[in-house]
Amino acid sequence: MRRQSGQASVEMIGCAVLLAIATVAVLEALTVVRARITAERVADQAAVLMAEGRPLPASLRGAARIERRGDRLVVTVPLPVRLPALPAAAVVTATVPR
Amino acid sequence: MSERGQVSVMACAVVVLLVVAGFLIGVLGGIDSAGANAQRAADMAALAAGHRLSSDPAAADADLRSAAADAARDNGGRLVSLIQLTEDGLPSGVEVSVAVDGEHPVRARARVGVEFTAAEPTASFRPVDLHGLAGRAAVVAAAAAQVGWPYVWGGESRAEGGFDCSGLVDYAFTAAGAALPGRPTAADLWRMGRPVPAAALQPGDLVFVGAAGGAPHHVGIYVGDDTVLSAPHTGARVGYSPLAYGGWDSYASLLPAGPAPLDDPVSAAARRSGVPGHVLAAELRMGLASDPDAAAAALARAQAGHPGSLQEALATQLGSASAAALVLRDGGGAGVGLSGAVRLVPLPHGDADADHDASLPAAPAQTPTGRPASAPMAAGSSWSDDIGTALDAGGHTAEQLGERGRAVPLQAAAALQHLSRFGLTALGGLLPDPDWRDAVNVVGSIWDTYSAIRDVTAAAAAGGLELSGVGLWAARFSVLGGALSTGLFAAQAYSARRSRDRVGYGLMAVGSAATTAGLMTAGGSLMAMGATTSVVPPVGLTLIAVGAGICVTGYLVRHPEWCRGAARIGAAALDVAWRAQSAPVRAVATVADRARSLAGSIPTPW
Repeated sequence: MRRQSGQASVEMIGCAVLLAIATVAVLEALTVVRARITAERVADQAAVLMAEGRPLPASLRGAARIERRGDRLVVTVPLPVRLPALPAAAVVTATVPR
Repeated sequence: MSERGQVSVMACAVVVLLVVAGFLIGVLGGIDSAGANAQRAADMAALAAGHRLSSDPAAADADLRSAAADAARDNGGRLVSLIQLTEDGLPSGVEVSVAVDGEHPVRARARVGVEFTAAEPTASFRPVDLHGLAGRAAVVAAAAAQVGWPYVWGGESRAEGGFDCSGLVDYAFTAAGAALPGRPTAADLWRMGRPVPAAALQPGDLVFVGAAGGAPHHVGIYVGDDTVLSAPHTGARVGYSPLAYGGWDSYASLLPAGPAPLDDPVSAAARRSGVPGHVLAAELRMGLASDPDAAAAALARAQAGHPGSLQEALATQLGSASAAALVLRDGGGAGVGLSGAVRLVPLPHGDADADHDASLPAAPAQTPTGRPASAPMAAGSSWSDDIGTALDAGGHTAEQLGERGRAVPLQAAAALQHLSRFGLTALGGLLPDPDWRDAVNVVGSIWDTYSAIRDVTAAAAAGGLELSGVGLWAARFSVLGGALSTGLFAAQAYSARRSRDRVGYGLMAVGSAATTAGLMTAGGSLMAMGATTSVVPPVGLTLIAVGAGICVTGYLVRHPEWCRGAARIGAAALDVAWRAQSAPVRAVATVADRARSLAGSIPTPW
């Protein structure tokens, strides 16, 4: 009886750890996708504004780091939680026509 | 013991669901990203072509394509098509279609509108493109382009505000390529000229007032048809007047004698209405008008409302500032600066090719106009931002699935189908009750049968079903799973105690084997890791359909209660249908019976 109870506890702990890892993985996937989507949106809008010769609004700059390198526009959205195996930020590059 | 096992099973089921959710997030995120990339490439391609068009409205299609293709390539896309948009025959924008190849091939479209603006030189008068005219015709055309400018004594530049009489002559000869020395006055012009009799006047000759006294004080240009063009006096504007009423007393020519230029109907119409000839000619050349007199009269009316600006008058006449700029450019030539505001404009709903008119909407101050822009998240986002982003991403993905390209919906639908089918398999393996597992599995097998029959029908003409991306990987897993299932079902058939289980499991083993064999007919490309596509031939699809059908039969053999239940439900449904169908007939029959009985109960008086 004690052996069965001990095994049940081990199984419970194992399941809890597995669940926690899976949950963290899913949340991290969501975060990465969210950052990527934000970077895409900001890059879209910034590239269009630049190509149309219009200034970038402050709200756009507040959402991400926007750098102009020649005709390339680099938009970086950092991930709030950094995991070793994953990139630290979502980076999207757009080339603005001259 | 059994409770402990159930906890583990449920935990595993949750983990599997989380993994499936993570996979789904990744797939949909990838699709969304591919769609965003394609849209950005299309936007940049359209803007590049729009800028090219704004700098040269007559740019060849190849030039626009080149600019768009470069921009699309720089953004990871490939230009598929480019349509130059026109409004009333004038260039008004560009629409492009761009494809991004990759794991999720996507095609996106974008449209830009170009609003042209003309800028006349600040230091000189209206530039005029003489379109090949020379000699007398060129002098007359250059002078006729200045109709409407105010008279300013000593004036010879825009900065001074207008012309005087000799300034107009000087400008016309210079513009016609016959520049006069210095800045001659009327008297200088008289001295430079060769006197001609009034009867021999030709367009381009000069007419003078006061030359009989030796020092003329006024000069005009004879333009033919007994008409003189001149800058008459302070308070008046450059315009036409009859030769007979100007007090002209002497005539001279600065141009070599030669045949008189033909008086074309456009110049005559401009003369009659008193409008600049070069823009009237441009309107007719560009197809914006067909009747010179009607167009000249319309322009004259517009000029009356805008005496100081030919561009505004043209815009009023043509109903478009952009068209006015293009007319000024065509009439004035390279001396008229032309620029264009390039803006993304919304794509029309339905077929883009059906409507090539692209008017430029008023641009909001902060956001691109191409499509409803999703607001970017502010730094330090809140849950509402997250929900907004999720909704935005969902909407964007739905847009990708629903509208953009043909490949994305197929890919996404295939991915969702495979994930759903995989979910059924996972559920069928993890549910605690064996009957529930069988119920889920038979649904999966029915699904497989239906899918295979549908694929056979659809792929028969194409020579097979092409698998790629998620579909290919699903097929690879299905082969492994099918082989495993065949062995397991065979083992269960061997060890089953009841005969119906033996027959049922046996049929399921045969069905799984047939399904696996059907998939394997795709050949080595199915399992080769480097392969990106594989084709299952029609015979393979038929085997899959037959195998899945046999599996369904196996499940039904093992669960005769399902057959009985289905038969009962079917019979009940038939009964309901029959009752519903026959209700009117029975109602009519009842009414008829009652009518008969009522008729029989009426006593007869005889």
